[in-house]
Amino acid sequence: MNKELISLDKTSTAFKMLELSNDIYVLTDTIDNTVLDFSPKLSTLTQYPLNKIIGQSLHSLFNVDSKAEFNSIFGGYFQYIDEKYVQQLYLHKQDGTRIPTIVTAYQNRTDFGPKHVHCFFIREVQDKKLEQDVLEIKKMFQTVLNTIPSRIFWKDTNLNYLGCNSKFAVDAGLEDYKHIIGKSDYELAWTKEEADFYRLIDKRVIESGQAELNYEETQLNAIGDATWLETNKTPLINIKGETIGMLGTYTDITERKKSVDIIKNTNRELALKNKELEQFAHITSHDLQEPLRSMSSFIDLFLLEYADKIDENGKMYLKFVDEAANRMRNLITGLLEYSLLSLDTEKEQVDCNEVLQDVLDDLSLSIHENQAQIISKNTLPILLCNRIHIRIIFQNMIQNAMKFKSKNIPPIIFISTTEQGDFHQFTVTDNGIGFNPNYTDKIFILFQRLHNTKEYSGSGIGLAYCKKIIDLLGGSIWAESQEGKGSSFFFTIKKAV
Amino acid sequence: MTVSKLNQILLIDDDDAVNFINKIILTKIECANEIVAIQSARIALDLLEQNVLSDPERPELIFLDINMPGMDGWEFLENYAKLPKDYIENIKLIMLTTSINPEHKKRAEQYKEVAGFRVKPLSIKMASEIMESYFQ
Repeated sequence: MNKELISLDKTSTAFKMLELSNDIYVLTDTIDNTVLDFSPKLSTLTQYPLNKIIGQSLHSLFNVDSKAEFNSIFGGYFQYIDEKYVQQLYLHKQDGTRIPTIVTAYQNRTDFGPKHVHCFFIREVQDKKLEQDVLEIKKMFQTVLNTIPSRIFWKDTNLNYLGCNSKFAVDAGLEDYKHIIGKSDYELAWTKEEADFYRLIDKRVIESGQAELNYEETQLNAIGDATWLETNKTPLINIKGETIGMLGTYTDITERKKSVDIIKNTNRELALKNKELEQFAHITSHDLQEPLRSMSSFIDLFLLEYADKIDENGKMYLKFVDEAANRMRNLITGLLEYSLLSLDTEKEQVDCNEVLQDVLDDLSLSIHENQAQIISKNTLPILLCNRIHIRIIFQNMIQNAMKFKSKNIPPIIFISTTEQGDFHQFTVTDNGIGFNPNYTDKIFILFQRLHNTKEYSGSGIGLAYCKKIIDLLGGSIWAESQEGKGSSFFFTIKKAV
Repeated sequence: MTVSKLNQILLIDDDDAVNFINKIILTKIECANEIVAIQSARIALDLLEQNVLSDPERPELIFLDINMPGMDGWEFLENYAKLPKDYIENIKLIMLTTSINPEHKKRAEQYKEVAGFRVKPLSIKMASEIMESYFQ
C-alpha cells in the first residue's frame, strides 16, 4: 500500500525545537498503526531510507512480532485518555543489529489532515548496560510477583485493574495476568457483593491516601471455593505526590481460619470442662463433707446425752462410725487436692534452700518432738517451677521420714542433689524402718499404703501427690529401701534455663 | 440337712470396723466355735504357715479382703497357693471385697484356691447362704 508523506507545519518554532531534541517522533494511523510521519533522524539511526519507513506497521520497526503484541504492550494507550505509556524496545537497524530505545506512547488523538494519529517518541538509550539491567529487573520483578504465594494487583483511580500477578489471575479466572488490564471487579470471578465491598475499600484508600492493612474479607474464587482472605491495600503515589491508584495484596487464610475455629471450639469445651471440674471440686469440698460432719456432730451429741444409758458395745459401734466419717472426710479432702493439682502450674525461679528452710520452720515442733536432724549435704539448686509444688515434695519427704522412724533411734534425714544432664537429681535418705522393696511402685499409687492405719496414720495420698507433681514437671521419682535399713527417695527436676 | 459347725473362721481385713461387724454377724448365726480376725495379710500368712505344722484342722473358712496396705489380697493368694495342698484342700477361701470391678471377679476366678467371690458388706443372710453352700 502506498502512503503519501503528509507534511506538518515544520516551520513552527515548536517543531524546530522538536527536531533539535534527541527524541524521534513518529505519528501512526489509529486504525492500522502504520507510520504516517516521523523525524528524519529515524532514518539516520536505522539506516533505512525514508520511503521504506513510511507506511510500515510500527511494530515491524521494533523487536515485536505482531501488531497484536504491540497493542498489548501499549495496552492502555488505546483505551485511556491522557495517559503516557513508556516501554523499552529494540529498534531494528538495516544491518540486522538492534538499538535499545525507550518508547513513549502519548495518548492524544491529534487531527492530522484527514486522519487520526497516535504519537510516539523514540529515544536511543546510550547506556546499554543500564538499560539491559532495567529490562532484566523488570522481567525479574514480574517473575517475583508471579512466584510468591501472595496475590498482588493494582488499580487506577477509576478502580479498574492495571496489573496483577499470575496467582491473582488464577483466582480471578483469567488465563494470563496480562488480561487483567482494564478490567473491573464486576467482570471477575467474585460475587457482586464482594466486588462492591472490594471497590468500597479501594475507593477509601485512594481518597484518604491511608493504607488499610491486615483485614479479613471473603472471596468466591474462579475454582468456586468460598475463601477467607487477609488483605492489605495501600495507595499508589507518583513522584509528584499524587495518588494514581492503589496496590493490593492478600493471602488465603481459609485453613488458618478453620484451625482457629477448631481451637476456639476446643477452648470453649475445655472451659466448660474446667467449670465442671470446679463445680465437682465445690461439691466434694462442701456437699459431700456436710453429711459427714452431721454424722460426727450427732454422735457427739448422742454420747453427751445417752452415754450412761448404752453399754460398751454401743459405745464402740459409735466410735467406729465416728472414725469412718473422719477418715472419709480426710480422703475426700486429699482426693480434691490431688485432682486440682494440675490446674495450678504457674512457674517462677524457686530457690530450694529457701523452700527447705520454710518447711523446716513449719515442721519445727514435730522436728523437736522427734529429735530429728535434717542435714542438707550441699547447696540446693534454683529451679523454674511452682514454689508450692516444691514445698509439698520437701514437706512430704521429711514428714514421712519422721513418721516411719526406727524405734528409739532419732531420725536423721540427709538431703542432697547432683546434676544429671538436664536434670537435678534430689536424694532424701533416712535411717527409718524402711520398706519391702517389692512395694517400691505401690507406695506412689493413690490411696495405697504399706501399713495399717492403726500403726501409722495417713491416707495414702502424700507420695502419690509428690509423684503427680514430678510427673507434671517432666521428671521422675523412685525409691530404694530394705526393711529395717532406712530408705532413700530420689526425684529429678529439669534445670532452670 | 444340717450345716456343720466349724472349728474356726479366719477374717483377713485391714479395717478394724469391718472385722468387728463381721465377727458379730458370724457369731449371731453360730456357725463356728472360734472367729479370728487379723488385720494384716502378712501376719495371717505367718499364722497359716504355723498351722500347717501345729494345727492343720484350722481354719475351715477364710474371708479375704483385696485392698490392704502392704501385702494385698492378690499377693496373699500367690503365697497361700504355695502352702501344702492337703492343708488348703480343707479350707474354703471366700474373697470379700468392696470392689465392684468385674476385672477383680474375673481375676479371682482364675485361682483354684478361691471358692467364692462376694461383695461387702457381709450380712446374716449372706453368711447363712455361704454356710449352706459350702458346708452342708
